[in-house]
Amino acid sequence: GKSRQRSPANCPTIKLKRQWGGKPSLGLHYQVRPIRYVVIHHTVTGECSGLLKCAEILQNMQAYHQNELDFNDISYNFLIGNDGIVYEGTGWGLRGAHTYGYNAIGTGIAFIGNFVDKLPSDAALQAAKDLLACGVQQGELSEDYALIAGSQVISTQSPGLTLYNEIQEWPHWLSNP
Amino acid sequence: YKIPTPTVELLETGFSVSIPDEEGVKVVAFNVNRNRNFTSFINEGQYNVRLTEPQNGRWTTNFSSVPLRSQDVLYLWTSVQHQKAVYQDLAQPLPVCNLGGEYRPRGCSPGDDDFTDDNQLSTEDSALEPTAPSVCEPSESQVSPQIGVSICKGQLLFEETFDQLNESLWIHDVRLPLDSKDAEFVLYDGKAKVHDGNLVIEPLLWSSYRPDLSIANSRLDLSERCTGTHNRIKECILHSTGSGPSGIMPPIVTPRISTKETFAFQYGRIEIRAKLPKGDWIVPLLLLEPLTEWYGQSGYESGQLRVALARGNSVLRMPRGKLVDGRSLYGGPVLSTDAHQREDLWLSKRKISHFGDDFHTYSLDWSSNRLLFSVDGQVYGEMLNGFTELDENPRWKQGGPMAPFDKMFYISLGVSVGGFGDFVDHLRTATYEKPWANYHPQAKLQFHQAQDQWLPTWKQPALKIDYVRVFAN
Repeated sequence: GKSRQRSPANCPTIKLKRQWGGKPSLGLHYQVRPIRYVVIHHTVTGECSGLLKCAEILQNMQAYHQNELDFNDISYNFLIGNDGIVYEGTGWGLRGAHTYGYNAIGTGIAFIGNFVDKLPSDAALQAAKDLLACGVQQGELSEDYALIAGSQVISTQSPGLTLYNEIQEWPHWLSNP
Repeated sequence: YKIPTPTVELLETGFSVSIPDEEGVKVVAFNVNRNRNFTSFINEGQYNVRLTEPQNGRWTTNFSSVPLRSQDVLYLWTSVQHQKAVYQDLAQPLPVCNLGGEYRPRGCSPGDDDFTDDNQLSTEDSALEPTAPSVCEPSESQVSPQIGVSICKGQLLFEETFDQLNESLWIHDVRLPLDSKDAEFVLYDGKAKVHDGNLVIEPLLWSSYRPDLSIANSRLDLSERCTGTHNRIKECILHSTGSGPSGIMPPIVTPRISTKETFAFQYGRIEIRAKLPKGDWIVPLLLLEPLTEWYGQSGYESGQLRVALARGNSVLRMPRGKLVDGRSLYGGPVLSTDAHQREDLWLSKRKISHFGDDFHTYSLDWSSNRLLFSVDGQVYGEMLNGFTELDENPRWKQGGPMAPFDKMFYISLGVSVGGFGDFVDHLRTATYEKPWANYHPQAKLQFHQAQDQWLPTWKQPALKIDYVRVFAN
């Protein structure tokens, strides 16, 4: 765990990288706290529920990002399974590799699955909202953080049009990043 | 803002790391490794923490449940966010016995195992030296792990006669050479053998190592077996696709063993009785390598000592005719990847026949002011301290006069083939020119493609070692 803060009541359960069988990062870049931007993505993999199924997806993703793409680590700060469990990627305060131009100043949160034509489960959406609230409470995110979709700032479909529509309803969504 | 030197203190089971709080400090992160250096100081530590609040004026963390031993060394880097800027700092390696704190692992002071609290050891004229021999001239030699008694001059500190291969003492390397500028054309893998009381280290062709895996367009992950600690991607994963340095697998695979985990010493005389390999472009590795890499972890910033080497070639000439083949014995330090600098620095002795024709006893007497090289009891060269003047590494100035050779070194044995550091360009054997150009991206491929020229000369490619002994001096 990177953070030693006590967990407030509304923080979701976070499975740490070592708990899902992740490998150490090859390079840590600490970010400036608090973070201004949150970037939402989807992973375009299968969906998953439960530690075993999700861990398999996460381990494969990390290996692909580290070995084939030459990233230091799995590219997102957090990933969320369909059962509403949050998985630590690089975690709070450590730079990911999810959105060119926003890696140093943003926190990348990815829903595990493909959400072009469907929404993540209610549990997953609630977990994301809880994670954001928790981030603000712990001082990791600015109180006035801006929430954007990957597709708003880089050339990608991520997080999928249906999910993009959903997050436009969330309070911190920024229409013109 | 400048990151202050972190305070590292031993706890009963583990250690604490802290820095004082200052105005404007927002986040402090510590990354710590035990006995594993950081090559790039952004590497994640085995123990790491990111703190967002100070406690009682300090940013402190306790890493408990880390059983530290006296010979352990901690490596630490620190990241601090001050206002809106992030700073990083890599600490000097931290030998556990030099750390503060109330606890101290066993073995940190020489008397640990032998004396009780009420002895009078501290008095100057104590006549009671319980375990030392009657005539003991104190030695400057030290060993790691430390032994509980004082060391006397001439004392045998390490002995291996290779009646069998003790794999808990000698650990096999499984790794690619780091792609530093002098990387040899080998993969270190496979087991050394013992035969007739000699250690035998024999290089293999890739095709004999992995007949199932093509030398080009393939991939091999050494994964858990890999012992590389500097850069696991480069040392542990081989893929040969396209042109360039990774265009083919290493053409040669060879065992390599070391005492890195089990024995190291600082100052002493090492004697190795060995029969050196013969065959074009083979180089025996009879090395002392830096245990903690105190002066730096890339290239040869912390130095390396070649106890002895003779190139396997039976005839090898420099462009102007100087002979540098197996009839020339060399010994000396390696302080740079450059082949010319090595050639200039090394001491040598020439003989009528190849040094690999017979067993010889090669020795390096390493003290705090000089290196003395000999073969079969005959000294052939002496090198005084003052390596700092070579201007290879400014950090050596922080050490003693013998820096970088004033720290613990361990024994490493193997063979190397080709590479850029041990062969300058435009060398000629009796029949052909050196088949690769140093630093050429396809050097390894050029070497491999000349296999018909060099392989027939590999009549005796194995390094054989009868014994290794280290004495205090």
